[in-house]
Amino acid sequence: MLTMKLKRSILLSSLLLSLCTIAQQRHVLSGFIKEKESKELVIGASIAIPQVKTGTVSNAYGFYSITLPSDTFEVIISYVGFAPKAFRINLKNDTELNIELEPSQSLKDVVIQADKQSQRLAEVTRMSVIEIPISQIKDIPSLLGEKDVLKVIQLMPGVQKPSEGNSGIYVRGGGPDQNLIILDEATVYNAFHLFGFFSLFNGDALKSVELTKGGFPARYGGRLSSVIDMNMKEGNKQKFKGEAGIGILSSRLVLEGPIIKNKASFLVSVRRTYFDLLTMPFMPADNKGGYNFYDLNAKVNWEINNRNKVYLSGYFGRDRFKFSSKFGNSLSEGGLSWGNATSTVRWNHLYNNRTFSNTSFIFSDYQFGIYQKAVFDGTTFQLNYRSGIRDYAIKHDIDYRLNANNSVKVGAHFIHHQFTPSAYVVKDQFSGQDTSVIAQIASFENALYAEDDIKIGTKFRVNPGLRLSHFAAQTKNYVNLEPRLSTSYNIKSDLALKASYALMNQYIHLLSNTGIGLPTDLWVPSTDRIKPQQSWQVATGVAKDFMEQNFSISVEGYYKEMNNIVSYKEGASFLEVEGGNNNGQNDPLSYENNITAGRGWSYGAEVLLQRKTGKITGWVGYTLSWTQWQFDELNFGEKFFARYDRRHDISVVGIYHIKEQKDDKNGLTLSATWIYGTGNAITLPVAEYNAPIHSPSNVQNPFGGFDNVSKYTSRNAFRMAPYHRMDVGIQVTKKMQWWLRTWEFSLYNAYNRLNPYFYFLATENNTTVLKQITLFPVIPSVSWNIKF
Amino acid sequence: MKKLTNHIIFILVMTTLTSGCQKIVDDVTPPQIESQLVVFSFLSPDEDFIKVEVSVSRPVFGKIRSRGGVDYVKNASVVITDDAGVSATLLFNDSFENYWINQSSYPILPGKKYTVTVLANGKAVSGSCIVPQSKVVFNEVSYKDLTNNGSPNSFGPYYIYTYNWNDEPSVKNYYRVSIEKTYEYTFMNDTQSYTNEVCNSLRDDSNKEGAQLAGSCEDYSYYFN
Repeated sequence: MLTMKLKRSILLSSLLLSLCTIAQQRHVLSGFIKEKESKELVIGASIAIPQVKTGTVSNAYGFYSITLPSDTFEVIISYVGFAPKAFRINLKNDTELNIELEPSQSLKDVVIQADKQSQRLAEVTRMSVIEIPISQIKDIPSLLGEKDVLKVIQLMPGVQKPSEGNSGIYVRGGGPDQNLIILDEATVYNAFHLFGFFSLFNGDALKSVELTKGGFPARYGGRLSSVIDMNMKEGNKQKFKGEAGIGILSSRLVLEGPIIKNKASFLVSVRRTYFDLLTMPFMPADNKGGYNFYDLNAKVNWEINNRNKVYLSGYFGRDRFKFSSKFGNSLSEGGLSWGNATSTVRWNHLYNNRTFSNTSFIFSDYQFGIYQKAVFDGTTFQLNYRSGIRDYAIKHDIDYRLNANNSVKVGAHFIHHQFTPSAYVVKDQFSGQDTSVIAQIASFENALYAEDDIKIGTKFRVNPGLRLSHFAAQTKNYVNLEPRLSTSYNIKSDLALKASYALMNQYIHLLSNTGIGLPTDLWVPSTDRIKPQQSWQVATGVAKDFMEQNFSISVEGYYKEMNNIVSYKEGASFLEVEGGNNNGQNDPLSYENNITAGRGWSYGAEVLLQRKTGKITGWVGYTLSWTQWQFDELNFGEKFFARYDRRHDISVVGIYHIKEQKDDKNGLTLSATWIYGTGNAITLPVAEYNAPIHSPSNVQNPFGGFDNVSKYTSRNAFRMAPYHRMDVGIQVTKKMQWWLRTWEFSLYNAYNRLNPYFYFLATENNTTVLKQITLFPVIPSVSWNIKF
Repeated sequence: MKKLTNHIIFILVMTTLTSGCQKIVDDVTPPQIESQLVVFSFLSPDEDFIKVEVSVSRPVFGKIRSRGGVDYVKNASVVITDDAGVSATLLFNDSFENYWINQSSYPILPGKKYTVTVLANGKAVSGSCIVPQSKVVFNEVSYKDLTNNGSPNSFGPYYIYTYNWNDEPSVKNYYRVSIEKTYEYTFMNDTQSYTNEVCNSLRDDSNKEGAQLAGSCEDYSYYFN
């Protein structure tokens, strides 16, 4: 017996020793991936070691780390649009290898070489993630030539196409409030200018855009339906560069360059519309009005040393509408303005070649305001109203490459929200009364998370994660555990089966009953009465790369349930939540009385066939989906389709580089998009009848009068006409002496489809008819751009 | 404040719309619906008669008919039944164009549940309600005059009315609260009075079953509304 035990101990010790020996023979290869020309860090570059069928991807700060046995390897680094690089490396010790990639000089190179080596869709553990190539955003035709990241996201399967004038992004049946939009780690609360026709995000300033629709890793939280994670460019560390454009609606300018060569750089991007400046001279001097928006992105980064980097980035944008009129000795002026401001200070620190950390200090602010001033005979009335949300946040995230098979991420997020449902100040010299009422609510939202990307053998990958989220609301503390799981099984190297599960909590809510993205939409917190929204989603799918043809295809099915989603009660409106009065005291929680909570279900299937590189690029996306809601207090408690329920949703995007632009050659690019979406589900009146009016004051006959009452379809039971549209564009690029010049001509809604914006009832020849308003017929546009 | 917001948003939306390239499309097929039975009845122990009005709805789309007219149904079968199964048939009265019965032959009693069933044009509808056991008595009704003290509307009067009452337990109740203001003035020895309804709200006893229910209402109205 004793001998047996001794033998086992010796065997175990030998095994442990041999494992230690093996462990000692493993080394870490780590470093940063940069663009050669600008020294910009490259996000999502693939580092492949074909010999041992392993690899990794550079993180959001260009850092990679991989553990390998002591041996000689071929290392292949690739990224879409860049020429791949291959090294032979004899790994005897932990090695730091910083790699610089050069933009591909030839599209053929990219087709033939890069895509054979770049990270394949089938090799990624996560699913329901789409990277939006920035270069394609610039090639896709758009309304009035304004390049728009969020409009391109709306062309992806799983993202319902909104109708015109409806800005929201609706992902897998989630509402526009359920998207976490992040710009350099800062949350952006209202992502659109001009009622949703244009997004805040100027493609010139962006380096990467990633959309996650499901299978959320634990590092993301706080919203139910999607994460749109955007990173701004850092600025060229080598040379001063610029880009400028003049379009029908706006002009823009991007400048970037080194502050200290190879160490520190800056980037500034500005855009402003000039509709107001053009129309102002034609308005009478005593009656003027106008609208404009502008935005400014700025970023400075400093590479202190190889272990420490600091970034300071900010966004500031504002929409302004103003009017003024003079009559005799009276003056009346007023306006609306709304906008976001974000700023982020980030510190990247490399503890060692396996451990990378990022610490962010974040400020984010969204404000909507109204002002009015009236002057009569020198006496003034002045009103200022505002509502909004302001965040101060700290995030600390650590990437730890435990070994070749485990890549761990842990982190802690702390956010202080300051909600202002309404605040107003009145200075009234007419009555001599001044009023100042500010309704504010403060809340804390915190989270701890851990996730691990695990490789099991060469075929199976799993990414389990857990997020612990906390929200302090009034007297209640909501604490929730959010398990996450993504798995991937490679049947072949280019074919993978994937599945995911994610539980999400959302502690803040957007009150909006217009659905058209008015800036009056109001962010409010969960309270003792209003519970956090919660969802769980399962998704399963298959991803296949067709290497020779340079295509990838993914097919996914999903099922999502949402609880405690909020909606306005019947008859309530956003105009009733402006602070509200309670016995003359301003009550910041008055909105609680106007909203009701319910449930939602969304399920469907998505297909995405995509080609990212080559002469012809683009994608075809198709979504089949159902989205239903149920609220006890709406539609008599019966289930109904969400307004944006889309049975069929198709998008086709094609970009054809007829002539590629190279150093001394001119370029010519054709592009076209076609989209189709089932019509919005709306509620219409269908019948009417006369109902007696109850007048208690008429004691003798309390039901003496009649009122005409409309009977409506059940909620959202009528479908608007389907939406479809084709846009086409042509870009002609010419190398000039000092710069590269591009003329772009495009046609929005090329075949002049009269898409529905809204319906209304009209009377013609003593007959009531239904009519449709269409916003945009065919719209040509031209823009002139230079790059130097 | 609300008015100002309304105005500005309206101007902004209209500016955007009118400055755009909007077009009107005429040939939209509207939804159609068969006419449906509309039944209205008010049951109260205080009334002399039980009256039930039966009519049909009209489609919204199509030829417009006079809004004032009601399409009464005169050949319906209208029966009222209480929770003990005692029923009575109401007959159509040509003068008032509704179905009725005298309460001397079928009294409405507090605390009882009544169901009205109507059969007409091959369709049947019914509705029921419980007559409250007792009349609602306010525990307290009061008001504050904040015209010169904290009015959000600098240009006019501002009153806040508060009131509360006890919900009758064990019964689902719906309440309609209406507040009227009577203004009386004398000019040249002639006294006139005007009555306005300044607040009107509906509520039920959800989550407040048998508890004290309270409400308040703001009144910005001028005397002559």
